[in-house]
Amino acid sequence: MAKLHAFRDPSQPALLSTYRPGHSFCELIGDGEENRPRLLQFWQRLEQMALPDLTVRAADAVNELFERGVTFTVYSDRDAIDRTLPFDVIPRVLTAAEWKHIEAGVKQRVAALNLFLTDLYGAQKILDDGIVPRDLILSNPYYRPEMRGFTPPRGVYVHVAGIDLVRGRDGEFLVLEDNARTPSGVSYVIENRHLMQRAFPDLIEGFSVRDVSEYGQRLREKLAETAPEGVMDPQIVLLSPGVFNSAYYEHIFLAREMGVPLVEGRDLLVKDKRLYARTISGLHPVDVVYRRVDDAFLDPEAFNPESMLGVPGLMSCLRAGTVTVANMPGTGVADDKAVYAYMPRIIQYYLGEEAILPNVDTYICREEKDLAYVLENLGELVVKPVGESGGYGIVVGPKASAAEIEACRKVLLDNPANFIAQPMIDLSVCPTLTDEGVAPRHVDLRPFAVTGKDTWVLPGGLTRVALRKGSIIVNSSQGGGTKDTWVLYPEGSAPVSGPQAAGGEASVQTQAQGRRTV
Amino acid sequence: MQLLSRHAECLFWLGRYIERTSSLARILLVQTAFDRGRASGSGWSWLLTLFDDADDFAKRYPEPSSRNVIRYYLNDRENLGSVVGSLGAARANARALRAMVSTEFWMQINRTYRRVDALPSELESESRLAQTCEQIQTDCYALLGIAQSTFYRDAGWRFFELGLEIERADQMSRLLDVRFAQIQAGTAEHGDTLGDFTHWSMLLRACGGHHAFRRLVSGPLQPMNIAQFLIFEQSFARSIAHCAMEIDGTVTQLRTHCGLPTPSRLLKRISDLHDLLHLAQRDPGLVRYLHGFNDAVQRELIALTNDLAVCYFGLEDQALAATAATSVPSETTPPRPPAQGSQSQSQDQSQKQGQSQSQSQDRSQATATAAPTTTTSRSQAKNQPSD
Repeated sequence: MAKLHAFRDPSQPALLSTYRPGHSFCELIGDGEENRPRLLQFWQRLEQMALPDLTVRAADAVNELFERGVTFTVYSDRDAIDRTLPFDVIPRVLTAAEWKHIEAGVKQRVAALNLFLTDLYGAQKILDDGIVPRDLILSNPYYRPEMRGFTPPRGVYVHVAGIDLVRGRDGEFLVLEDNARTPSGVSYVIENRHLMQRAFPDLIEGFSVRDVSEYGQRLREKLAETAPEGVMDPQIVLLSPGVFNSAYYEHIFLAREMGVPLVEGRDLLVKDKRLYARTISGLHPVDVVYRRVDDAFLDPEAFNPESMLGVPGLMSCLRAGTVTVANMPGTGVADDKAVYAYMPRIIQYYLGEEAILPNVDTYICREEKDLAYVLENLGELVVKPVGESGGYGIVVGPKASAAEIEACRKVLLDNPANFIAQPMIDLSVCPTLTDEGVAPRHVDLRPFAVTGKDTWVLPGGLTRVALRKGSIIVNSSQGGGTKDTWVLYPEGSAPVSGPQAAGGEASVQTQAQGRRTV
Repeated sequence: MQLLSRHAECLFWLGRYIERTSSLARILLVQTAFDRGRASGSGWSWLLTLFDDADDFAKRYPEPSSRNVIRYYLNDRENLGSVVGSLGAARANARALRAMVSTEFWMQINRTYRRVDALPSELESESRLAQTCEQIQTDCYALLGIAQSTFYRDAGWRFFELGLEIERADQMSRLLDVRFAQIQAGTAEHGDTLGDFTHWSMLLRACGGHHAFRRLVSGPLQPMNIAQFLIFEQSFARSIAHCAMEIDGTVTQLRTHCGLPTPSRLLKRISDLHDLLHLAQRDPGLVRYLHGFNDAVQRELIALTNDLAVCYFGLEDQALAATAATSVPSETTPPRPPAQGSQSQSQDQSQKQGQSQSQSQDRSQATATAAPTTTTSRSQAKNQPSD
């Protein structure tokens, strides 16, 4: 049977004929100076598609996500409503060379984060040496004194990391943010790929795209490597806050991919500094907890006593070394937006290396000189509260009204230590299907790294796209969507996707003709 | 690792709530058909007797008119024993089980729930009501069919089946009790007696037994024959005896297929249920004592549910210490998960964790599993998920 293939009516304009990325760096065609040869083939493939056809198939694809239950949950007064994260069908493509650079940079970053945390909860040399201000750490709400003096198996605090990257006008990758607590979104990386393979086999065929489906097994492997000493075949569980968490689907997905039970706090109990799950045949010992519950809710005995989501006594197990918690409590101090500013120095301090992936220039408002500069240049800067995630509370100077700028100045002066500021980055863009055809939209990239004996980076990542025209805020809570992210194998080194891959362009032609008779 | 106790409990209640929804729809449907041949205003209030809801109903409705009773049992959100209430509870359990149930099942339960949820608070006509009830029934059969075709056959499947069979037996014993309760309460209409033909005929149809009964008995419908059929006929899937046999077999499978210990209290309970049935079958005056028999059946089923909770769902119970067969260490069994009030708090926390956008919930949404019951048959019938 001939596969469906979009055949372009020659009388219609080519899909990308009106596509103009402007000054932004374009993920498909680069900085506009020259077409990158590796992506030329992808450009040509896109050009063969017809807009109406693409639109219809995109709608089908989104519907399929819903049918398969790939949803996050929004609660109204009366009901729980399942929504799909907006999905854009035009993939974001990364070349092998770009990926090699990202992968090395992410590994370096994660290594530094783990060394940093081990030091902070251990000897605190970096504070003694004055590289990072002591009060910035010790007064940080995410610093957990309960962890002091404890070294986790293999020195791993951050088992799962999501490092948010952006590209400016010159195309250089910059780190925008580290996520070292409970980064989410990896289920979309994998589900998006499966969706593309089912809905757009004709788009992906012939390209040598690296596989992302082994994430669950890799994560399981890395978690097992960090099990308490002497445990050969650890019982791993995924601890979820429960059905009311908006990321509940991801918890289900990851538990399934890893092949481990999905538990809630009430399923676990601690007895004699040992953790157990309640099962129909009694108590079953648990060795590793991949938790998607925030620190504050993890153990009511140690942290928030009001928490119903955690396990009383879990911290006592952790300190007794009978259980591994991933990520370890207290990692929030390292991915704090204020600490972020020191990351290049932290990398230098522990690894003696330059950061492979540089930071975005960051002004630390707790420092007088920086604050003065920020107040002076509010109209040019992006001001971010340090404790927030999800894109809340961000003021984008160049897009803010005069009133918003003044409001921002006031909160800044009230509590400068709560803010950092960064120059506005003209984020790179990707061709994206919109109401007005294929148009440039800003994107970022969150690669995921899992760490045990060593660090493995998922060859892909979550590409978030700001679907609103001109918007640079990609968070799903602020109107963002996602794209499939293709990491290509080095040329000539790898299998290509699709059953008739060897046919290359010829097979594409055949299918194009086949489409006419369908 | 064996199935989590919580998941086992959710599966058990998932089965119960689907069966309860289906049974309710069937009862409404039959009454609709029955009502057509009668003067208006007849009939409907017996439902309140059947489910012992008269007090709760009187709090919110001025009179037990057919319109009010239908609304109360079909889509009154405040009545947790309505179709929309039971189905909502089934869906809440399915949500907690999403890692275990198939996508097909999840989609079907959502479709079913949305359909009921979208019903207007008052249906425009009786024929619309009949259509609606038929649709709900069909939806429930579809759910059971999808479960049958897609569920993984581990211990969880057995708990799902146990829930289904226990609810089925319970619903049957309640149906059998209607007439007695009506006469007892002096609310029977038209001077009907216990042996009223129309009533028993309706009962037979209410549980989908008319066709099967006719294959077995060709003469005139005798109340005694019908009662015997509905209680003891092993080949009739809704008879109490058939359900008891299924329960027995399923508990056995927990041991033989799933390697779970079968605590002696559970075996004793099932044997008590069989004894009750055997004794009743030999009693020529059963119809006269039907009410006492039904009460006894319901008490056994409640006790059985409680035993399952103690043996497998981790319910704290003093009797546990005395039962050597179970492997749950009783002295350390911690308190049950928080119920009711505290749930909204944990839910709130759960949402905050994901920056979910909403603020408040309907209490009936706030649940995933059902708390086992203790005392009256009333609480059994109303047992809603609470933690």
